[in-house]
Amino acid sequence: MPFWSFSISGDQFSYYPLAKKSKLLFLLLCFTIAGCQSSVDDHSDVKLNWEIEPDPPSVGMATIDITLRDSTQQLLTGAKVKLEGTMSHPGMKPIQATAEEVEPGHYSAEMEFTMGGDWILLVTSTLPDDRIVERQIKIPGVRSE
Amino acid sequence: MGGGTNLLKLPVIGDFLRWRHSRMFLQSITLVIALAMILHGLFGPDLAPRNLSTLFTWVHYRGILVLILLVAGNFFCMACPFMLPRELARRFTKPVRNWPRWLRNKWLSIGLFVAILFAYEYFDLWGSPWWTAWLIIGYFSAALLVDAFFKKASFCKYVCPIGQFNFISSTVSPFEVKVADPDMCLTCETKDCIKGTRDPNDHDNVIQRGCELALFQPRKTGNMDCTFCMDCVHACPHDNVAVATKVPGSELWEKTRRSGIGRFTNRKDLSVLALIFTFGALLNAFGMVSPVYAFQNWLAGVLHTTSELPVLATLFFLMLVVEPVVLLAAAAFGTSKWTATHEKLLPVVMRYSYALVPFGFGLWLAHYSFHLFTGIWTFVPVVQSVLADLGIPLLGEPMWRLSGMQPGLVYPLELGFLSLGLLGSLLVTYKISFRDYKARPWQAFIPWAILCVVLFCAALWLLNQPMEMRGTFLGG
Repeated sequence: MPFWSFSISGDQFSYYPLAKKSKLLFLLLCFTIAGCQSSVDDHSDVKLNWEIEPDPPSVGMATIDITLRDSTQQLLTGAKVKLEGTMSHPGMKPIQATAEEVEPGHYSAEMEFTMGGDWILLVTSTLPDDRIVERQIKIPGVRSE
Repeated sequence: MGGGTNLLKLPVIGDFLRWRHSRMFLQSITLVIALAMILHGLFGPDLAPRNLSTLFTWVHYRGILVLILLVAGNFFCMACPFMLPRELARRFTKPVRNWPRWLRNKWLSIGLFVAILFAYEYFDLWGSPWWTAWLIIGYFSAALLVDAFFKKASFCKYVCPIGQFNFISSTVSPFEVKVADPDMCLTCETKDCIKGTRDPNDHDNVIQRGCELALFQPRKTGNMDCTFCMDCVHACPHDNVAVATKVPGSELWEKTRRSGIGRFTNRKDLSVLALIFTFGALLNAFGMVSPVYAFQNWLAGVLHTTSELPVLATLFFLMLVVEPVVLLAAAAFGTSKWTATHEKLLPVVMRYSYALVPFGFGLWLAHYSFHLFTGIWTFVPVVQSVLADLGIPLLGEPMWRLSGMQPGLVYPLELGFLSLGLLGSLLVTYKISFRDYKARPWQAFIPWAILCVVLFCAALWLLNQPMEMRGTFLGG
């Protein structure tokens, strides 16, 4: 009897053939977690360029400028672009902002970095054709002074 | 036992602790949580704030651990999930080897403790769910391997770095497992608390094991090496073991010979553990604030390198070796000279090293409670997200904006913990001085009190620095 197929019953362990069910449950859990990461497609044909001001950023307000283009380098207009900033360390308060389209295909958002350190911006762009494009922007070393 | 509170006599809590399966019950809960952390760490999002592995390990577990140590005792070791696979394995195969005699000390676990502190900084473990998951897997594997080959609780007593952190921290906890009525032990012939309870019909069959960490209850003092496993509680046929209140930190100045440990003042390894614990708290907090990067850049310039490894190694050497040696030697020299005992410095350092533990614990507490309180609700959206991925959406969309208390509100708590630590260290220093330097106690006390205040000021300075949690190095 494999040692992982057990259950607790009464004062002592009792063993019975649950091995198959346990393995199936474990595999199901693994595949579920692995397979359900995100329902958002990669949409690698969509290119995102970004700039930040000031560069390098420091604690306080910063402006993020984002440009969206398709595979033919055409600017993607009319997208809804949301940003969420989170630190590389878990447990920190995230920051959120919605970017405005300041020129066709160019989006701009003001964000306030609340703490020095490494930040990651999650950019979620909903295109006019309802495709959702997610990208991560790493902003290392936001200065605290 | 005196007039203290005995948790075993309390309703509900006492009933639970006396329950033969209380430990396994708690371990099963933490095991499920640990498995979820491993799976999410390996297969979940690679963003640390959105992964159970990094979030629970580096925010919630550490914070809850130190708070439980502060208000109760070493209950994490009781609920330790790493021991459950080992318990199951031992039902199939019993180890026959004794832990090597030359390793029956804390040196290995001190080395592992420093290694984990180093890996935390070098590999930015807080930011890597994958590496954090493998750290947990490594822990399970090490516990299983060590205890599969060696008898008793060898892993807990001689290997586990978390265990050593808990042991040394729990010296300032308010509860300990101890004999309720010492007189009753005088007439005890079976000594089940250490030998275990044997089946009367089959003397070779141990039906309830005694202490696996070699702590004989009548001669046990304090919490050092005690995992709160409750084996002695279950084994004592006279119901004479209590989980009772004590004066936090009192065991740090007691000079008695302790079962399974010996005298604190004769144990160089325990003394070094206390010092690494204390100066490691400073180092770990220093790694999270802005000035560390300026210092690392300066060090990199001095060393003519852009590699993090030599810079970090130098920082560790400076803060865990050079700094303690200089400060402790100065304090010991002051005590030796002003008390006119002209003792060698090492015995003085070993005597007083334990006095720094309350301060060290206060700093760990301030640091870890900051992360816990400022991010206490961050687990909610992550759990929501995991459940949503599993097809069980709970309370709608994950509430990613949830965090915790404002840092400004946590700051007074941090100051309180730090001050409590300083007061504790001053009290232990005072007690040791009046115990060992009866002719000139104040002359012995003052150098170490100054050292405690200096360390307190350093910690206070650290708490007032802007936090800057970076994984990048030299140019971020």
